[in-house]
Amino acid sequence: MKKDIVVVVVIVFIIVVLCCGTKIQSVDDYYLTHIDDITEDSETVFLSIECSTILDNWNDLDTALRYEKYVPSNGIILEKTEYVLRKGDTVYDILSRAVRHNKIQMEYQGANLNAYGSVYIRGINYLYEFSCGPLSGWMYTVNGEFPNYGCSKYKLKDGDVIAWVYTCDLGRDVGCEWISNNKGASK
Amino acid sequence: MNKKSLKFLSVLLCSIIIVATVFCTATGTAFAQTSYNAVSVEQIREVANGIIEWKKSDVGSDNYLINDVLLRQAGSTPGDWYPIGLGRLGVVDNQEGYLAVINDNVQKRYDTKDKLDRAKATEWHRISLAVLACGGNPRRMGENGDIDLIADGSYNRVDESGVGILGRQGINGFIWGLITLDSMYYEVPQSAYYSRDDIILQILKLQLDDGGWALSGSTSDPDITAMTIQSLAPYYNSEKQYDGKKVRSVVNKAIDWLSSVQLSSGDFYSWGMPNCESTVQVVVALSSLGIDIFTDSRFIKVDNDGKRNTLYDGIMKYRTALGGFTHSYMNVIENPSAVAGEPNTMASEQVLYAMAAIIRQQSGLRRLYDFREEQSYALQQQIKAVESQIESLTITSSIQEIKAVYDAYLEIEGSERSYVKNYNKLSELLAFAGIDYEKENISYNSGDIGAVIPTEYFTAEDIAAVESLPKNLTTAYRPQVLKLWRKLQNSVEFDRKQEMTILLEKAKNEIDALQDEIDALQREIKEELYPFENIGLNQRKVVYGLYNRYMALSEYDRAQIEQTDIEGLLRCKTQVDNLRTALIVGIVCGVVAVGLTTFLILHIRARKKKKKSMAMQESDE
Repeated sequence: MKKDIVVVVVIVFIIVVLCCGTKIQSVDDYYLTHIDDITEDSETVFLSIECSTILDNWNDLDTALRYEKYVPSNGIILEKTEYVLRKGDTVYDILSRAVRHNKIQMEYQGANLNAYGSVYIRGINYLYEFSCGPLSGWMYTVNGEFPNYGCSKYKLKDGDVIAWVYTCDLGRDVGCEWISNNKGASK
Repeated sequence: MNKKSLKFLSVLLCSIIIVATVFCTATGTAFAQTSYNAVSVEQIREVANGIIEWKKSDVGSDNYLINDVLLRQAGSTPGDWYPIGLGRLGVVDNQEGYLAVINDNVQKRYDTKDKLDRAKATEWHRISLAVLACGGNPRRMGENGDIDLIADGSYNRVDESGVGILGRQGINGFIWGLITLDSMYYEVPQSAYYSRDDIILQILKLQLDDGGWALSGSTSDPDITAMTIQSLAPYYNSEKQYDGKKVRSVVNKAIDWLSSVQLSSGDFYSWGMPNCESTVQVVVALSSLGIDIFTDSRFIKVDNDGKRNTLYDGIMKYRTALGGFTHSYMNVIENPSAVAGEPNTMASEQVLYAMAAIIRQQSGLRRLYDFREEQSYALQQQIKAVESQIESLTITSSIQEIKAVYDAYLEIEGSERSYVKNYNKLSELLAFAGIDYEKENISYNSGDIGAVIPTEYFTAEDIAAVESLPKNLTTAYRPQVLKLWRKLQNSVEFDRKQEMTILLEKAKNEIDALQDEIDALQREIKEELYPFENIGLNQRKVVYGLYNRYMALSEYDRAQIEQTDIEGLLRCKTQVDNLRTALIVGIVCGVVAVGLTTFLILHIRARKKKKKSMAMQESDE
């Protein structure tokens, strides 16, 4: 009789384990597969990608790119999305992860990231610099400000809001003032 | 007022202007000479060497600056401008390596739909200049030598429908297109889409009211203005009218504007801050006009401490202790990872060629972007003689004297007249004296001159190098193999040439295949393994397929894959491994559970049976 009870307990235990899922993982494995999970205590940043200025400059757009899949009708390529901020992350790191996660095409220049420090984003979603006129290209803001150096140099902190915006007028149409205001001004 | 007095007045006015001009120039020179801030060519060379040494440490080289790390960037801004700087300074480096790699890179990029780029003509220009600086021929690029970067990048830069797109990226396309055309004084064929004058007109049309140029807007920018002057320098002495304007007057106005915005510290302000690169561009512009930046009073400013600052001082401000140059000392937004004052690759590469420009101007060599063979001693003397004759002319000189000097000027070959530094004065005197002066008639070469493919000898060391290539190649061998390949192609016949060709071609193909595999892996990882949440056991085959291909690469080639993709791959592999372990554990547990349950049921049944039979036995008894 006693033996029966032991066997029943074992069976119940096995069924409970099976029902709960049997993810038997080492700590490293767990860390690796959950590194981008947003939990209560993870630090996060926000990222969005948009190109609505192109909608106002449609005639300047390379004819090969005049399709919804390149320029969405609302101009939004990626809605503001929350991402886990890892230690030492730069604007480039977050963009790099976000475009992969959302399968958005992206091309950058600066092959050897470690040796040269600065990465230049050439194109996102097949929209490149000069795709929409001679003053067009990608820029980024962090918390509304336009940094004046490469995105792989900008280290982020918890809660930062990054926006990648496509300009058709050297930043003026997206509210970047330092280029147009200070350019050529003397003394 | 009668006709005669009107004529008299105009002559008088002209005289006043001429006297004023000559007088001002004279005092300018006298003033400048007293403030001469002598910097020797040796000192300038030392600055250049400092940059080269800094950059060597940046790319981890203890020999040539054009090492494998820099060569991986051949065809991009830093990968091309350093070779341009080195070449124009006459520094012997791994120029052959650059030519070998860029040739292969250009071919590969030409194999794609947009060739070097869809919008940027400057890709063609920068690569052309770098190829020239390394001693190559931009008109004979690619595997079969049938790629002409000059035609494709300048006068025949058109889109699929045949419309000109030299200016698709804005004024830079025209500026650099013209610089590239004049790099060897290439001839533009009649059938070309753009003529030289078309390009010049486009540039002149974009001049702003203040005298300068900008990418956009109505305020000029020092960088763009200076680069425009660089492109117009070969036409400074031309008398040709473009929409009623001569290049000289246009450039003079631009120089005045630049002088007016130079800071008292000698440097320039652009893109939000005083910076090194804007100053560099002005130096290259003035040097290309033959202006001595150490003596021209228009570009020597006095700061609050009473110190005179030349453009050279304005650049040296940005020199760091490491030898490299920094972009600026100003941070607009506080960010601890972007420290102002640290050496920066772009600022340094630009100062490197600015030093070349100054040295060339000081030593009587050609302009930075004039890659034709250097002038002969006789030609230099001829130009100097004309310059001193012009110098000695005054408004009191007779018409005959002026005419004689002009004839001497015309004796100089058309394509060399832009090197006469003071023609400006002669042309004013010619106008004053009422002498008819011809339109500039410059002859351009067919475009192949200077394109001598060297005859090389594939030496015993080269053969040994081919034979010692490892069995399992990695992409690390690409520069070496391409360099040997190029040498072999240009080599005279020798016994084992065919054998070497087969060996090297095999090596070249293997490396190409490896690179294709690396690219394919990166692409497929992005396509197949994201988003991570969707990775389940049914993807195990895909994940392992990619993982095994990744592991099949050499360590060096694995490192060529972007870290994010490697992480993505390893993460997916871990995920499917864990899921599989879980599945196996689950199955084992399930089997055990079923087994135990069966055992238990059988056991209970058996016991019940036993009890029953016992009970029956009891009742029987």
